[in-house]
Amino acid sequence: MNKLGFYCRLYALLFAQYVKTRMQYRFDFFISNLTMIATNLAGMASLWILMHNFPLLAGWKYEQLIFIYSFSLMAQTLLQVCFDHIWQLRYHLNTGTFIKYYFKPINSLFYYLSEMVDLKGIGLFVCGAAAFVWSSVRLGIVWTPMRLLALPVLLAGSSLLIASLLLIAACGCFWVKDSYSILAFINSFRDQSRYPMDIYNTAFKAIFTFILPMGFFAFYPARVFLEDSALGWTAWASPVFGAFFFFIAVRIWEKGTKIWGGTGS
Amino acid sequence: MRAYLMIIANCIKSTFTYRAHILFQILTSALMILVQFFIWRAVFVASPGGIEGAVVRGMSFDQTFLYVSLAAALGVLMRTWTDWDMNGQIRSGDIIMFMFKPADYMKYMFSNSIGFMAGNLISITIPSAIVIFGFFGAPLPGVLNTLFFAFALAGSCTLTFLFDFIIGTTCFWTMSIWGISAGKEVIIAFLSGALIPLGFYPEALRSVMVWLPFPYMYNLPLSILTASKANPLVWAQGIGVQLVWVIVILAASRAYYRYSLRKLTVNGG
Repeated sequence: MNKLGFYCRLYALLFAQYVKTRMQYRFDFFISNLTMIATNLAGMASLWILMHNFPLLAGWKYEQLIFIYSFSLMAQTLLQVCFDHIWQLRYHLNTGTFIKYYFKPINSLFYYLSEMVDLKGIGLFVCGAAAFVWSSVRLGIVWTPMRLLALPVLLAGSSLLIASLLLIAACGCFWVKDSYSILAFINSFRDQSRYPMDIYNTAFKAIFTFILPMGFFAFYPARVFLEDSALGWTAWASPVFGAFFFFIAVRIWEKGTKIWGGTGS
Repeated sequence: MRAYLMIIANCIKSTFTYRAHILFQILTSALMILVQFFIWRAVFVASPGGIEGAVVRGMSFDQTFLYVSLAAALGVLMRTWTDWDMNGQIRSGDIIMFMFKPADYMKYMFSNSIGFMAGNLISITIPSAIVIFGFFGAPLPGVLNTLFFAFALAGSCTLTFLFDFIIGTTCFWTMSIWGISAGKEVIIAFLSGALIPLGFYPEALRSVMVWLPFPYMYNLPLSILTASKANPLVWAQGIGVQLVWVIVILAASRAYYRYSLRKLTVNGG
Protein backbone atom coordinates (compact mmCIF):
# COMPACT_ATOMS: atom_id res chain seq x y z
CA MET A 1 0.00 0.00 0.00
CA ASN A 2 2.94 2.27 0.80
CA LYS A 3 4.33 1.48 -2.58
CA LEU A 4 1.07 2.35 -4.29
CA GLY A 5 1.08 5.74 -2.58
CA PHE A 6 4.66 6.28 -3.71
CA TYR A 7 3.84 5.54 -7.33
CA CYS A 8 0.73 7.72 -7.25
CA ARG A 9 2.72 10.68 -5.90
CA LEU A 10 5.46 10.08 -8.43
CA TYR A 11 2.98 9.93 -11.29
CA ALA A 12 1.34 13.18 -10.19
CA LEU A 13 4.76 14.88 -10.12
CA LEU A 14 5.76 13.58 -13.53
CA PHE A 15 2.34 14.41 -14.94
CA ALA A 16 2.67 18.01 -13.81
CA GLN A 17 6.14 18.30 -15.34
CA TYR A 18 4.96 16.84 -18.59
CA VAL A 19 2.02 19.21 -18.79
CA LYS A 20 4.43 22.11 -18.36
CA THR A 21 6.64 20.98 -21.23
CA ARG A 22 3.62 20.49 -23.48
CA MET A 23 2.37 23.96 -22.67
CA GLN A 24 5.24 25.28 -24.74
CA TYR A 25 3.17 24.20 -27.69
CA ARG A 26 -0.12 25.82 -26.85
CA PHE A 27 -1.35 25.84 -30.42
CA ASP A 28 -0.78 22.11 -30.69
CA PHE A 29 -2.63 21.49 -27.43
CA PHE A 30 -5.55 23.62 -28.56
CA ILE A 31 -5.85 22.22 -32.07
CA SER A 32 -5.36 18.60 -30.97
CA ASN A 33 -8.15 18.80 -28.44
CA LEU A 34 -10.37 20.60 -30.90
CA THR A 35 -9.74 17.88 -33.48
CA MET A 36 -10.38 15.15 -30.93
CA ILE A 37 -13.75 16.66 -30.12
CA ALA A 38 -14.58 17.32 -33.79
CA THR A 39 -13.71 13.73 -34.73
CA ASN A 40 -16.14 12.36 -32.20
CA LEU A 41 -18.85 14.90 -32.97
CA ALA A 42 -18.57 13.81 -36.60
CA GLY A 43 -18.85 10.18 -35.47
CA MET A 44 -22.02 10.99 -33.54
CA ALA A 45 -23.37 13.07 -36.42
CA SER A 46 -22.83 10.08 -38.73
CA LEU A 47 -24.88 7.96 -36.35
CA TRP A 48 -27.53 10.66 -36.38
CA ILE A 49 -27.62 10.62 -40.19
CA LEU A 50 -27.95 6.84 -40.15
CA MET A 51 -30.79 6.97 -37.64
CA HIS A 52 -32.43 9.82 -39.52
CA ASN A 53 -33.12 7.25 -42.27
CA PHE A 54 -33.73 4.17 -40.16
CA PRO A 55 -35.59 4.20 -36.85
CA LEU A 56 -33.64 1.48 -35.07
CA LEU A 57 -30.26 -0.26 -35.23
CA ALA A 58 -30.91 -3.85 -34.15
CA GLY A 59 -33.57 -2.58 -31.76
CA TRP A 60 -31.54 0.34 -30.38
CA LYS A 61 -32.51 3.95 -30.83
CA TYR A 62 -30.28 6.96 -31.42
CA GLU A 63 -29.94 8.14 -27.79
CA GLN A 64 -29.06 4.63 -26.65
CA LEU A 65 -26.40 4.38 -29.35
CA ILE A 66 -24.94 7.70 -28.20
CA PHE A 67 -24.92 6.36 -24.63
CA ILE A 68 -22.88 3.33 -25.73
CA TYR A 69 -20.63 5.58 -27.85
CA SER A 70 -19.99 7.93 -24.94
CA PHE A 71 -19.22 5.02 -22.62
CA SER A 72 -16.61 3.81 -25.10
CA LEU A 73 -15.04 7.31 -25.27
CA MET A 74 -14.74 7.55 -21.50
CA ALA A 75 -13.33 4.02 -21.32
CA GLN A 76 -10.67 4.95 -23.89
CA THR A 77 -9.43 7.91 -21.88
CA LEU A 78 -7.05 5.89 -19.72
CA LEU A 79 -5.38 4.45 -22.82
CA GLN A 80 -5.25 7.82 -24.55
CA VAL A 81 -3.83 9.78 -21.63
CA CYS A 82 -1.57 7.32 -19.81
CA PHE A 83 -0.61 4.70 -22.39
CA ASP A 84 0.34 6.89 -25.33
CA HIS A 85 4.01 6.00 -25.06
CA ILE A 86 3.32 2.44 -26.26
CA TRP A 87 3.24 3.81 -29.82
CA GLN A 88 6.93 4.75 -29.49
CA LEU A 89 8.07 1.41 -28.10
CA ARG A 90 9.26 0.15 -31.47
CA TYR A 91 11.53 3.18 -31.93
CA HIS A 92 13.05 2.78 -28.49
CA LEU A 93 13.70 -0.91 -29.06
CA ASN A 94 15.09 -0.52 -32.56
CA THR A 95 17.36 2.42 -31.77
CA GLY A 96 18.47 1.10 -28.39
CA THR A 97 17.23 4.01 -26.28
CA PHE A 98 15.06 1.55 -24.40
CA ILE A 99 18.07 0.66 -22.25
CA LYS A 100 17.49 3.60 -19.93
CA TYR A 101 14.28 2.07 -18.55
CA TYR A 102 16.35 -0.60 -16.82
CA PHE A 103 18.36 1.87 -14.80
CA LYS A 104 15.94 3.26 -12.25
CA PRO A 105 14.81 1.57 -9.04
CA ILE A 106 11.18 1.75 -10.12
CA ASN A 107 8.96 -0.57 -12.09
CA SER A 108 10.03 -0.38 -15.74
CA LEU A 109 6.48 -0.44 -17.13
CA PHE A 110 5.53 2.42 -14.82
CA TYR A 111 8.67 4.34 -15.74
CA TYR A 112 8.09 3.81 -19.43
CA LEU A 113 4.40 4.81 -19.43
CA SER A 114 4.85 7.76 -17.09
CA GLU A 115 7.23 9.40 -19.51
CA MET A 116 4.50 10.52 -21.85
CA VAL A 117 1.06 11.91 -21.21
CA ASP A 118 -1.31 12.61 -24.06
CA LEU A 119 -3.30 15.71 -23.31
CA LYS A 120 -5.76 15.30 -26.13
CA GLY A 121 -7.25 12.62 -23.93
CA ILE A 122 -8.82 15.54 -22.07
CA GLY A 123 -10.83 16.47 -25.16
CA LEU A 124 -11.76 12.82 -25.57
CA PHE A 125 -13.03 12.57 -22.01
CA VAL A 126 -14.89 15.89 -22.09
CA CYS A 127 -16.62 14.86 -25.30
CA GLY A 128 -17.52 11.45 -23.88
CA ALA A 129 -18.74 12.81 -20.56
CA ALA A 130 -20.89 15.48 -22.22
CA ALA A 131 -22.51 12.94 -24.55
CA PHE A 132 -22.97 10.58 -21.59
CA VAL A 133 -24.84 13.18 -19.57
CA TRP A 134 -26.87 14.31 -22.58
CA SER A 135 -27.98 10.80 -23.54
CA SER A 136 -28.70 9.67 -19.98
CA VAL A 137 -30.91 12.72 -19.43
CA ARG A 138 -32.68 12.16 -22.76
CA LEU A 139 -33.24 8.51 -21.93
CA GLY A 140 -34.40 9.32 -18.40
CA ILE A 141 -31.99 6.84 -16.85
CA VAL A 142 -32.68 6.48 -13.14
CA TRP A 143 -29.41 6.70 -11.21
CA THR A 144 -30.02 4.33 -8.34
CA PRO A 145 -27.23 4.00 -5.72
CA MET A 146 -26.51 0.58 -7.20
CA ARG A 147 -25.94 2.05 -10.66
CA LEU A 148 -23.86 4.94 -9.34
CA LEU A 149 -21.66 2.37 -7.67
CA ALA A 150 -21.49 0.16 -10.76
CA LEU A 151 -20.50 2.96 -13.16
CA PRO A 152 -16.93 3.59 -11.94
CA VAL A 153 -16.29 -0.14 -11.52
CA LEU A 154 -17.50 -0.99 -15.02
CA LEU A 155 -15.69 2.00 -16.55
CA ALA A 156 -12.48 1.01 -14.82
CA GLY A 157 -12.89 -2.55 -16.09
CA SER A 158 -13.35 -1.48 -19.70
CA SER A 159 -10.54 1.07 -19.46
CA LEU A 160 -8.15 -1.54 -18.14
CA LEU A 161 -9.21 -4.03 -20.80
CA ILE A 162 -8.68 -1.61 -23.69
CA ALA A 163 -5.34 -0.36 -22.36
CA SER A 164 -4.11 -3.91 -21.66
CA LEU A 165 -4.98 -5.24 -25.12
CA LEU A 166 -3.15 -2.34 -26.76
CA LEU A 167 -0.18 -2.84 -24.46
CA ILE A 168 -0.03 -6.53 -25.38
CA ALA A 169 -0.10 -5.61 -29.08
CA ALA A 170 2.66 -3.05 -28.56
CA CYS A 171 4.80 -5.60 -26.72
CA GLY A 172 4.86 -7.61 -29.93
CA CYS A 173 7.92 -5.63 -30.99
CA PHE A 174 10.00 -7.26 -28.28
CA TRP A 175 9.79 -10.35 -30.47
CA VAL A 176 9.33 -9.06 -34.02
CA LYS A 177 11.13 -6.11 -35.54
CA ASP A 178 8.14 -3.88 -36.08
CA SER A 179 4.73 -4.69 -34.67
CA TYR A 180 3.20 -1.36 -35.64
CA SER A 181 0.57 -2.94 -37.89
CA ILE A 182 -0.55 -5.32 -35.13
CA LEU A 183 -0.95 -2.34 -32.80
CA ALA A 184 -2.87 -0.42 -35.45
CA PHE A 185 -5.13 -3.43 -36.01
CA ILE A 186 -5.98 -3.78 -32.32
CA ASN A 187 -6.36 -0.01 -32.09
CA SER A 188 -8.99 -0.04 -34.82
CA PHE A 189 -11.26 -2.04 -32.48
CA ARG A 190 -11.70 1.14 -30.45
CA ASP A 191 -13.72 2.71 -33.24
CA GLN A 192 -15.61 -0.45 -34.08
CA SER A 193 -16.62 -1.19 -30.49
CA ARG A 194 -19.24 1.53 -30.29
CA TYR A 195 -22.02 -0.41 -32.00
CA PRO A 196 -24.39 -2.88 -30.30
CA MET A 197 -23.21 -6.48 -30.37
CA ASP A 198 -26.76 -7.41 -31.42
CA ILE A 199 -26.00 -6.51 -35.04
CA TYR A 200 -23.62 -9.46 -35.45
CA ASN A 201 -24.47 -13.05 -36.24
CA THR A 202 -23.73 -15.76 -33.68
CA ALA A 203 -20.23 -16.53 -34.94
CA PHE A 204 -18.94 -12.95 -34.89
CA LYS A 205 -20.73 -12.21 -31.64
CA ALA A 206 -18.79 -15.09 -30.10
CA ILE A 207 -15.51 -13.84 -31.59
CA PHE A 208 -16.07 -10.29 -30.33
CA THR A 209 -17.02 -11.61 -26.89
CA PHE A 210 -14.35 -14.23 -26.24
CA ILE A 211 -11.44 -13.88 -28.66
CA LEU A 212 -11.20 -10.19 -29.52
CA PRO A 213 -13.43 -9.01 -26.67
CA MET A 214 -14.50 -5.61 -28.00
CA GLY A 215 -18.01 -6.20 -26.69
CA PHE A 216 -16.63 -5.38 -23.24
CA PHE A 217 -15.14 -2.07 -24.42
CA ALA A 218 -18.54 -0.44 -24.16
CA PHE A 219 -21.62 -2.36 -25.21
CA TYR A 220 -21.97 -5.04 -22.52
CA PRO A 221 -21.23 -2.77 -19.54
CA ALA A 222 -23.31 0.11 -20.97
CA ARG A 223 -26.28 -2.23 -21.14
CA VAL A 224 -26.40 -2.31 -17.34
CA PHE A 225 -27.76 1.26 -17.48
CA LEU A 226 -29.95 0.84 -20.54
CA GLU A 227 -31.95 -2.24 -19.62
CA ASP A 228 -33.75 -3.42 -16.51
CA SER A 229 -34.26 -7.02 -17.53
CA ALA A 230 -31.90 -9.86 -16.65
CA LEU A 231 -28.62 -9.12 -18.36
CA GLY A 232 -26.60 -12.29 -17.95
CA TRP A 233 -22.95 -12.59 -17.08
CA THR A 234 -21.57 -10.45 -19.93
CA ALA A 235 -22.85 -7.23 -18.36
CA TRP A 236 -20.69 -7.69 -15.28
CA ALA A 237 -17.67 -9.42 -16.76
CA SER A 238 -15.69 -6.41 -17.98
CA PRO A 239 -13.85 -5.81 -14.66
CA VAL A 240 -12.86 -9.49 -14.64
CA PHE A 241 -11.70 -9.33 -18.26
CA GLY A 242 -9.91 -6.05 -17.55
CA ALA A 243 -8.02 -7.43 -14.56
CA PHE A 244 -7.21 -10.68 -16.36
CA PHE A 245 -5.81 -8.99 -19.49
CA PHE A 246 -3.90 -6.46 -17.41
CA PHE A 247 -2.23 -9.31 -15.56
CA ILE A 248 -1.35 -10.96 -18.88
CA ALA A 249 -0.08 -7.65 -20.30
CA VAL A 250 2.21 -7.07 -17.31
CA ARG A 251 3.59 -10.60 -17.56
CA ILE A 252 4.25 -10.15 -21.29
CA TRP A 253 5.98 -6.83 -20.63
CA GLU A 254 8.19 -8.46 -17.97
CA LYS A 255 9.03 -11.31 -20.29
CA GLY A 256 9.76 -8.87 -23.12
CA THR A 257 12.07 -6.68 -21.05
CA LYS A 258 13.93 -9.82 -19.95
CA ILE A 259 14.57 -11.13 -23.44
CA TRP A 260 15.38 -7.81 -25.12
CA GLY A 261 19.06 -7.91 -25.88
CA GLY A 262 19.70 -4.30 -26.75
CA THR A 263 21.16 -3.15 -30.04
CA GLY A 264 24.77 -3.78 -29.13
CA SER A 265 25.85 -0.17 -29.35
CA MET B 1 9.80 12.27 -66.25
CA ARG B 2 12.02 9.20 -65.93
CA ALA B 3 13.30 10.39 -62.60
CA TYR B 4 9.76 10.65 -61.26
CA LEU B 5 8.92 7.18 -62.60
CA MET B 6 11.88 5.81 -60.66
CA ILE B 7 10.55 7.43 -57.49
CA ILE B 8 7.18 5.78 -58.07
CA ALA B 9 8.79 2.37 -58.63
CA ASN B 10 10.92 2.68 -55.49
CA CYS B 11 7.93 3.61 -53.44
CA ILE B 12 5.99 0.55 -54.62
CA LYS B 13 8.91 -1.67 -53.70
CA SER B 14 9.19 -0.19 -50.22
CA THR B 15 5.55 -1.11 -49.56
CA PHE B 16 6.58 -4.74 -49.68
CA THR B 17 9.47 -4.44 -47.22
CA TYR B 18 7.42 -5.51 -44.26
CA ARG B 19 5.17 -8.23 -45.55
CA ALA B 20 3.61 -8.95 -42.15
CA HIS B 21 2.35 -5.36 -42.20
CA ILE B 22 0.28 -6.12 -45.24
CA LEU B 23 -1.53 -8.99 -43.53
CA PHE B 24 -2.56 -6.85 -40.58
CA GLN B 25 -3.53 -3.93 -42.78
CA ILE B 26 -5.80 -6.27 -44.72
CA LEU B 27 -7.25 -7.50 -41.40
CA THR B 28 -7.83 -3.90 -40.24
CA SER B 29 -9.58 -3.10 -43.49
CA ALA B 30 -11.59 -6.36 -43.36
CA LEU B 31 -12.75 -5.59 -39.81
CA MET B 32 -14.01 -2.18 -40.92
CA ILE B 33 -15.87 -3.74 -43.86
CA LEU B 34 -17.29 -6.46 -41.64
CA VAL B 35 -18.69 -3.98 -39.11
CA GLN B 36 -20.19 -1.88 -41.93
CA PHE B 37 -21.78 -5.00 -43.38
CA PHE B 38 -23.50 -5.87 -40.12
CA ILE B 39 -24.62 -2.29 -39.39
CA TRP B 40 -26.27 -1.86 -42.75
CA ARG B 41 -27.65 -5.38 -42.73
CA ALA B 42 -29.30 -4.66 -39.37
CA VAL B 43 -31.00 -1.47 -40.54
CA PHE B 44 -32.10 -2.91 -43.90
CA VAL B 45 -33.49 -6.11 -42.35
CA ALA B 46 -35.74 -3.96 -40.18
CA SER B 47 -36.95 -1.84 -43.12
CA PRO B 48 -40.17 -2.59 -45.01
CA GLY B 49 -39.32 -5.01 -47.82
CA GLY B 50 -36.44 -6.56 -45.85
CA ILE B 51 -32.87 -6.98 -46.97
CA GLU B 52 -33.84 -8.17 -50.44
CA GLY B 53 -36.53 -5.67 -51.29
CA ALA B 54 -36.02 -2.51 -49.24
CA VAL B 55 -34.94 0.60 -51.11
CA VAL B 56 -34.07 3.54 -48.88
CA ARG B 57 -33.22 6.93 -50.43
CA GLY B 58 -32.98 5.19 -53.78
CA MET B 59 -30.44 2.65 -52.55
CA SER B 60 -30.79 -1.07 -51.98
CA PHE B 61 -28.76 -2.97 -49.39
CA ASP B 62 -26.39 -4.31 -52.07
CA GLN B 63 -25.69 -0.83 -53.42
CA THR B 64 -25.24 0.67 -49.96
CA PHE B 65 -22.91 -2.07 -48.78
CA LEU B 66 -20.83 -1.85 -51.96
CA TYR B 67 -20.61 1.91 -51.45
CA VAL B 68 -19.57 1.93 -47.80
CA SER B 69 -17.20 -1.02 -48.02
CA LEU B 70 -15.43 0.38 -51.07
CA ALA B 71 -15.28 3.75 -49.33
CA ALA B 72 -13.37 2.02 -46.54
CA ALA B 73 -11.07 0.34 -49.08
CA LEU B 74 -10.48 3.64 -50.90
CA GLY B 75 -9.69 5.34 -47.61
CA VAL B 76 -6.83 2.89 -47.13
CA LEU B 77 -5.77 3.20 -50.77
CA MET B 78 -5.45 6.98 -50.63
CA ARG B 79 -3.70 7.12 -47.27
CA THR B 80 -0.10 7.90 -48.19
CA TRP B 81 0.98 9.96 -45.16
CA THR B 82 2.32 12.74 -47.42
CA ASP B 83 1.53 15.33 -44.76
CA TRP B 84 3.29 13.31 -42.05
CA ASP B 85 6.24 12.79 -44.35
CA MET B 86 6.55 16.51 -44.99
CA ASN B 87 6.24 17.24 -41.28
CA GLY B 88 9.12 14.87 -40.63
CA GLN B 89 11.27 16.47 -43.32
CA ILE B 90 10.52 19.97 -42.08
CA ARG B 91 11.21 19.17 -38.45
CA SER B 92 14.42 17.29 -39.13
CA GLY B 93 15.55 19.83 -41.69
CA ASP B 94 15.96 17.15 -44.35
CA ILE B 95 13.67 19.16 -46.58
CA ILE B 96 16.69 21.33 -47.41
CA MET B 97 18.10 18.41 -49.44
CA PHE B 98 15.22 18.76 -51.87
CA MET B 99 15.93 22.42 -52.42
CA PHE B 100 19.26 21.48 -54.02
CA LYS B 101 17.91 18.75 -56.27
CA PRO B 102 17.03 19.44 -59.90
CA ALA B 103 13.49 18.28 -59.20
CA ASP B 104 10.35 20.06 -58.19
CA TYR B 105 9.46 19.30 -54.56
CA MET B 106 5.74 19.07 -55.15
CA LYS B 107 6.17 16.79 -58.16
CA TYR B 108 8.58 14.70 -56.12
CA MET B 109 6.05 14.31 -53.33
CA PHE B 110 3.30 13.58 -55.85
CA SER B 111 5.37 10.80 -57.42
CA ASN B 112 5.98 9.46 -53.96
CA SER B 113 2.29 9.54 -53.25
CA ILE B 114 1.41 7.76 -56.52
CA GLY B 115 3.95 5.06 -55.76
CA PHE B 116 2.56 4.66 -52.30
CA MET B 117 -1.00 4.39 -53.64
CA ALA B 118 0.07 1.83 -56.24
CA GLY B 119 1.66 -0.21 -53.45
CA ASN B 120 -1.50 0.12 -51.37
CA LEU B 121 -3.60 -0.90 -54.36
CA ILE B 122 -1.74 -4.15 -54.84
CA SER B 123 -1.23 -5.01 -51.19
CA ILE B 124 -4.45 -3.89 -49.51
CA THR B 125 -7.13 -2.57 -51.85
CA ILE B 126 -7.25 -5.55 -54.19
CA PRO B 127 -7.37 -8.06 -51.29
CA SER B 128 -10.12 -5.89 -49.73
CA ALA B 129 -12.04 -5.98 -53.01
CA ILE B 130 -11.70 -9.77 -53.04
CA VAL B 131 -13.19 -9.80 -49.52
CA ILE B 132 -16.03 -7.51 -50.58
CA PHE B 133 -16.98 -9.36 -53.77
CA GLY B 134 -15.87 -12.86 -52.83
CA PHE B 135 -16.68 -13.22 -49.16
CA PHE B 136 -19.62 -10.84 -48.82
CA GLY B 137 -20.93 -11.52 -52.32
CA ALA B 138 -21.44 -7.91 -53.39
CA PRO B 139 -22.66 -7.76 -57.02
CA LEU B 140 -20.03 -6.84 -59.61
CA PRO B 141 -20.50 -3.37 -61.14
CA GLY B 142 -21.03 -2.85 -64.89
CA VAL B 143 -18.21 -2.20 -67.36
CA LEU B 144 -19.24 1.37 -68.12
CA ASN B 145 -19.57 2.13 -64.40
CA THR B 146 -16.11 0.75 -63.75
CA LEU B 147 -14.58 2.78 -66.58
CA PHE B 148 -16.00 6.09 -65.36
CA PHE B 149 -15.17 5.09 -61.79
CA ALA B 150 -11.51 4.72 -62.73
CA PHE B 151 -11.42 8.27 -64.13
CA ALA B 152 -13.16 9.72 -61.10
CA LEU B 153 -10.84 7.78 -58.80
CA ALA B 154 -7.77 9.31 -60.45
CA GLY B 155 -9.25 12.72 -59.61
CA SER B 156 -9.97 11.63 -56.03
CA CYS B 157 -6.39 10.48 -55.55
CA THR B 158 -5.10 13.80 -56.84
CA LEU B 159 -7.40 15.77 -54.55
CA THR B 160 -6.33 13.64 -51.59
CA PHE B 161 -2.69 14.37 -52.38
CA LEU B 162 -3.36 18.09 -52.70
CA PHE B 163 -5.06 18.28 -49.32
CA ASP B 164 -2.21 16.30 -47.77
CA PHE B 165 0.26 18.67 -49.38
CA ILE B 166 -1.56 21.71 -48.03
CA ILE B 167 -1.51 20.22 -44.53
CA GLY B 168 2.17 19.31 -44.95
CA THR B 169 2.90 22.88 -46.01
CA THR B 170 1.06 24.13 -42.94
CA CYS B 171 3.75 22.38 -40.87
CA PHE B 172 6.11 25.12 -42.00
CA TRP B 173 4.06 27.33 -39.72
CA THR B 174 2.87 25.06 -36.94
CA MET B 175 5.73 22.53 -36.59
CA SER B 176 3.15 20.04 -35.31
CA ILE B 177 1.04 17.64 -37.26
CA TRP B 178 -1.42 15.42 -35.37
CA GLY B 179 -4.12 18.01 -34.79
CA ILE B 180 -4.23 19.55 -38.24
CA SER B 181 -3.85 16.25 -40.06
CA ALA B 182 -6.55 14.50 -38.05
CA GLY B 183 -8.70 17.61 -38.47
CA LYS B 184 -8.32 17.31 -42.23
CA GLU B 185 -9.22 13.62 -42.07
CA VAL B 186 -12.42 14.25 -40.16
CA ILE B 187 -13.54 17.08 -42.44
CA ILE B 188 -12.94 14.97 -45.53
CA ALA B 189 -14.55 11.85 -44.05
CA PHE B 190 -17.66 13.65 -42.94
CA LEU B 191 -18.20 15.99 -45.89
CA SER B 192 -17.19 13.62 -48.68
CA GLY B 193 -19.67 10.84 -48.02
CA ALA B 194 -16.89 8.44 -47.05
CA LEU B 195 -18.82 7.12 -44.05
CA ILE B 196 -22.40 7.24 -45.30
CA PRO B 197 -23.61 7.72 -48.91
CA LEU B 198 -24.49 11.34 -49.58
CA GLY B 199 -28.07 10.36 -50.46
CA PHE B 200 -28.74 9.57 -46.79
CA TYR B 201 -27.74 13.05 -45.59
CA PRO B 202 -30.52 15.53 -44.77
CA GLU B 203 -31.42 17.74 -47.71
CA ALA B 204 -30.23 20.98 -46.06
CA LEU B 205 -26.77 19.60 -45.36
CA ARG B 206 -26.47 18.08 -48.83
CA SER B 207 -27.35 21.34 -50.57
CA VAL B 208 -24.35 22.96 -48.87
CA MET B 209 -22.00 20.04 -49.43
CA VAL B 210 -22.39 19.93 -53.21
CA TRP B 211 -20.66 23.32 -53.40
CA LEU B 212 -17.56 21.93 -51.68
CA PRO B 213 -14.80 19.84 -53.25
CA PHE B 214 -15.12 16.99 -50.74
CA PRO B 215 -18.01 15.01 -52.28
CA TYR B 216 -15.88 14.71 -55.43
CA MET B 217 -13.40 12.64 -53.46
CA TYR B 218 -15.62 9.77 -52.34
CA ASN B 219 -19.21 10.27 -53.31
CA LEU B 220 -18.54 10.89 -57.02
CA PRO B 221 -16.52 7.74 -57.80
CA LEU B 222 -18.62 5.55 -55.51
CA SER B 223 -21.99 6.77 -56.73
CA ILE B 224 -20.80 6.14 -60.29
CA LEU B 225 -19.74 2.62 -59.42
CA THR B 226 -22.91 1.70 -57.55
CA ALA B 227 -25.44 3.34 -59.92
CA SER B 228 -27.98 0.83 -61.20
CA LYS B 229 -28.56 2.73 -64.45
CA ALA B 230 -25.71 4.00 -66.65
CA ASN B 231 -25.78 7.77 -66.93
CA PRO B 232 -22.60 8.75 -68.80
CA LEU B 233 -23.63 12.37 -69.32
CA VAL B 234 -24.17 13.07 -65.63
CA TRP B 235 -21.00 11.18 -64.76
CA ALA B 236 -18.91 13.10 -67.27
CA GLN B 237 -20.30 16.31 -65.86
CA GLY B 238 -19.34 15.24 -62.34
CA ILE B 239 -15.82 14.38 -63.45
CA GLY B 240 -15.65 17.77 -65.21
CA VAL B 241 -16.47 19.60 -61.97
CA GLN B 242 -13.95 17.42 -60.17
CA LEU B 243 -11.30 18.48 -62.69
CA VAL B 244 -12.09 22.13 -62.06
CA TRP B 245 -11.61 21.52 -58.32
CA VAL B 246 -8.28 19.80 -58.99
CA ILE B 247 -7.04 22.80 -60.99
CA VAL B 248 -8.24 25.36 -58.45
CA ILE B 249 -6.78 23.52 -55.45
CA LEU B 250 -3.55 22.74 -57.30
CA ALA B 251 -3.03 26.43 -58.05
CA ALA B 252 -3.90 27.40 -54.49
CA SER B 253 -1.61 24.80 -52.90
CA ARG B 254 1.35 25.79 -55.11
CA ALA B 255 0.92 29.43 -54.23
CA TYR B 256 0.60 28.53 -50.55
CA TYR B 257 3.73 26.38 -50.71
CA ARG B 258 5.77 29.14 -52.39
CA TYR B 259 4.60 31.60 -49.79
CA SER B 260 5.31 29.26 -46.86
CA LEU B 261 8.77 28.37 -48.09
CA ARG B 262 9.94 31.80 -46.96
CA LYS B 263 9.02 30.80 -43.44
CA LEU B 264 11.31 27.75 -43.52
CA THR B 265 13.97 27.76 -40.86
CA VAL B 266 16.42 24.93 -40.57
CA ASN B 267 18.82 24.79 -37.65
CA GLY B 268 22.38 24.76 -38.89
CA GLY B 269 24.23 21.52 -38.36
